Amino acid sequence: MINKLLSKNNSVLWIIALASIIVPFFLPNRYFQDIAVMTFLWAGLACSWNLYSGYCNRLSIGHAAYLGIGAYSSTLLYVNFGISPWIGMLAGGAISAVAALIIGGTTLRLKGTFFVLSTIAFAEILKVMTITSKDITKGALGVFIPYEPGFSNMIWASKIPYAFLTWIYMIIVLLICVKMERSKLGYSLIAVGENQEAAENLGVNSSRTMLIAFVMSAVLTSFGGTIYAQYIMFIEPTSVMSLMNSINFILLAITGGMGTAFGPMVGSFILTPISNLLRGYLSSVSGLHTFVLGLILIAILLFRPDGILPQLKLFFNGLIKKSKATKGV
Amino acid sequence: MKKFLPVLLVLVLLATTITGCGGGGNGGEGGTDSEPFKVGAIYPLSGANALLGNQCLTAVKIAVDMVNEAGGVHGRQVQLIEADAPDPTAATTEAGRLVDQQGVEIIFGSLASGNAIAIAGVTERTGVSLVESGGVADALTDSGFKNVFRILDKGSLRGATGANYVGTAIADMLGIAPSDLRVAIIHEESSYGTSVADGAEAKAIELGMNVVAREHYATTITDMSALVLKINEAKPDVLLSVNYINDAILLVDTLKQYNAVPKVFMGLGAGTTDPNFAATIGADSDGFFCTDMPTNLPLDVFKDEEMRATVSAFREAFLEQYPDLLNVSIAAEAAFAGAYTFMTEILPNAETLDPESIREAALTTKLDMTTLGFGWDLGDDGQNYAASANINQWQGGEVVTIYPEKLKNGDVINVPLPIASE
Amino acid sequence: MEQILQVFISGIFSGGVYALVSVGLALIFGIIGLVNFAHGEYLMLAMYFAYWMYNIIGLDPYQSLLINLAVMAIIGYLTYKIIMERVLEADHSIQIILTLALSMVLQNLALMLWKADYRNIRIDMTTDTTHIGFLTLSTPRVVAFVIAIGASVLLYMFLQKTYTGAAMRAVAQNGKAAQLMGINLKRTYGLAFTIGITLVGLAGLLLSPIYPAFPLVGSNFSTLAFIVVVIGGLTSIPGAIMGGLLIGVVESFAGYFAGPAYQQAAYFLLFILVLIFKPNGLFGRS
Repeated sequence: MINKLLSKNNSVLWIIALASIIVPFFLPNRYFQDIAVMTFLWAGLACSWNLYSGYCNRLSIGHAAYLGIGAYSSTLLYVNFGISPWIGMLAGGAISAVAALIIGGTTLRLKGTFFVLSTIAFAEILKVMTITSKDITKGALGVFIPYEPGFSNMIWASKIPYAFLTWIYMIIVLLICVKMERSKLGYSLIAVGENQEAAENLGVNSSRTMLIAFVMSAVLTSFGGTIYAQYIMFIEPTSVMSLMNSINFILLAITGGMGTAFGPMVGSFILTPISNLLRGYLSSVSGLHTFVLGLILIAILLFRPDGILPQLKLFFNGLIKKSKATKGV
Repeated sequence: MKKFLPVLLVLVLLATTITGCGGGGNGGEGGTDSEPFKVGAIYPLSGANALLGNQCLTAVKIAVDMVNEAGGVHGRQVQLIEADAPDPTAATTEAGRLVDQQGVEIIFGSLASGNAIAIAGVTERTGVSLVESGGVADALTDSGFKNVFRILDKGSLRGATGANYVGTAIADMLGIAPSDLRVAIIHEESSYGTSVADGAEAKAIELGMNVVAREHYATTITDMSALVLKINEAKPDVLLSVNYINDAILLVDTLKQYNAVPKVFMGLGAGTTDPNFAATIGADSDGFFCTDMPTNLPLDVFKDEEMRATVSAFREAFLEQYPDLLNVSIAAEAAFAGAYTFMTEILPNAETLDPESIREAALTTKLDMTTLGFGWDLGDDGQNYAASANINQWQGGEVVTIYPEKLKNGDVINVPLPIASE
Repeated sequence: MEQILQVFISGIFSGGVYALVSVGLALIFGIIGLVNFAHGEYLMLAMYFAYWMYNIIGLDPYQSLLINLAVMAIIGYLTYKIIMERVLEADHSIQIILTLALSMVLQNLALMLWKADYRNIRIDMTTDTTHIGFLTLSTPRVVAFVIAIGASVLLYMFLQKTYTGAAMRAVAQNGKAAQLMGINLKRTYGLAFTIGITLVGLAGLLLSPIYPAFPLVGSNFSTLAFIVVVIGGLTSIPGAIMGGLLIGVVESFAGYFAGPAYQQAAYFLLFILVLIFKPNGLFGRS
């Protein structure tokens, strides 16, 4: 039902997505621009997550692993060998693809909770490996990227280029999702998500479908990881690959609406600014901002479990109908 | 739909009220007509490091109050704006808020080295100073940041100081040649523990000691039996240990349970210097060493009367807000020292309050003594080379300074430890 | 050899607490089908209550056992009524995220109300040891182990031997059919959730003399409990007990042979191996 509703007027959502790039130009200072960058980045990341978990309705709580692979691959290549992060990003994508093939190959056939927990397990193992392989990754000390602005270094003094980069990242992920939604892969994936056995009876190769989507999701997430590293310019395993980061993917996607191309974007557009502003302005009582954020989420889940996107849709539809009605008069 | 609109409305209202009132929320009613001088404090106030983060913030607040009472900085009242940064990503965003939105000139921080490096990435572009009094990772002052000033010692130095004392003084007391001395290293696995342990290991090898084991663990560990059994297998004479408080207590408890206490326990900062360490472990803590910045120094160490009064006032004000604590934690003492020294000794030497002058003042000012018990003498990298680590020992529930000579206020006891295994 | 046995035994004894935490989770999962990621936060609450009882009234965790369990039962029931009952029919992913959000709320509520300080309970027994032959055992861990196993066995008996227990098992197997047989579904779910939370509360109490209370203490146990439950076969109570002990032993051996840094990775690895080779868990029915 929801899917049908959405494909009808993606145009409004496309307009929102495309027009959002003008927002950073109107923001008063770098702080708000920073929030815009994080919003775009997390929109792209959550959409990448959604590509598998959302359409297939099987939660991965381990995507911080691919974020970490992307961040570490490009950063280590850049810091140790001077290889441009643009190339490093591709290398990270390749490594993530291999990792996702291995992880997906072993876990995708698991059902429900088993799968969810296995994703956590893999992410934790990867984190421990990153901490203990000190000679390669510098372990818990983390890796610091020296500030040398330049396009080939993917480092800029201004926030605007980062806003463009993250926005383009988000748009590319959205394009891929929308394209996939209407491809054979997309139909198969949604069918598998709704009822795996029925889909298989209809001739869908469910394990192949899931594996392709899973790898795509991991690779796109890993690209975001590279951008993340070049933006923060410091990465350490405990924060990049934290469970909290893994959870954030899901929170954004579910807030907007899982399994819809634009849902996670809407989720990030709403939740990323709110959580950053809450942290910024509620710091006088420690813990208050996360507490409030949690309450908001519980409220959304209890009263709007489909996320906010379907509501937006209804709202837009109402507007369109109204405007048509007024024109008609 | 009907239910959704009110929810959205509440969200929007919430967001706008927060953004709207936040800017003016932090008081700081200046007594003068001029604009207040804005400084920021970024600490982990939530998440895994919330405990020490909140204590550090309290300490900085006290420092700001004291400075304001004494007339402020360059005749301007100081306005403190606080920020919560549980991880480096948040630290970047919050540093941006303080610098770009609130217009602070100085940031006090930041306890975790990772956060400090992330903050430096933001402050460096605008020339805002970061006064670091918590993060010890060497990278912070080895990375070429121009406006990072670190009052406390580097992690590697702290580790080396502890190992050096083991290889020289303690080896003598035990009557074992350094080349025959067996040392084991245990550290928590964050950047703090790792950098201190790296320094200790390098020094131990340099002095020809046998490093028979090196193990690290996550602070979330709930049972150290396996670790202790493993370490005990290596039969160390001396244990060099970098812990936070919770894991420090668990470690000592477990060592005792398995009758695996080594002849000498040399703690390297943080947990083993915390007042709660001895308070929780009790009389058995007598003789445990802890290498750290000077902490809870007797007031007579401060020859300058004014400084003595300051230290005493700070301790009193701090403990008033933390009635459960026996003593001020070392993290809070350092946070206070960083903020207070910078505002009262460095900024007055700056001609104006622009970044260039502040940097010049920070690098050229030399002090014999700060409230931390050591001086202020920054290198071009912003590291305070007057900062030292002391060798301390727990005696009767108090930290007694053993080394260096000029701060010494007691003699070594209990080498080897009476509770050591045979 | 003695050393190996010692490592094994200390693993078994720390596994006792894991077992108890996991039994509650397995019960909730088995009967309601609810994945409770906020499970560890109830452990945290129980540890705080134990601390206050000790600090304000002067009762040690063993003396205040009953009153604490009563409080935990009430909290468990309220959570069920206010939140969980609304999502019984909801999708798994909704339940997972809801309980994740709940754990965020509870952790930060604790931080706001009680600050981040570590709240230690030091009773004489904390560092006591019991010696059996050449083996050294930590007395509070032995007590925790014995009570944990006892409570789990009682729960098992309750499920097997009483009418209410049988009703619960019936609901677990087929909710609709059980309802047709006249079993009140929501009441049974409520009871199962309450018992599950009470059990994790008991685990918190037993842990409190060894380990301090602080806002994030539960998160150390939440994922671990899930791993245990999956290894044990998801809904099986004896499976959860065996799984808990097994994880304790694996952790202990990994810590001893590979180093404590690998303890967590080791049980995650075990978990993945179990999933690959025995997807229904080591002790689950296929």
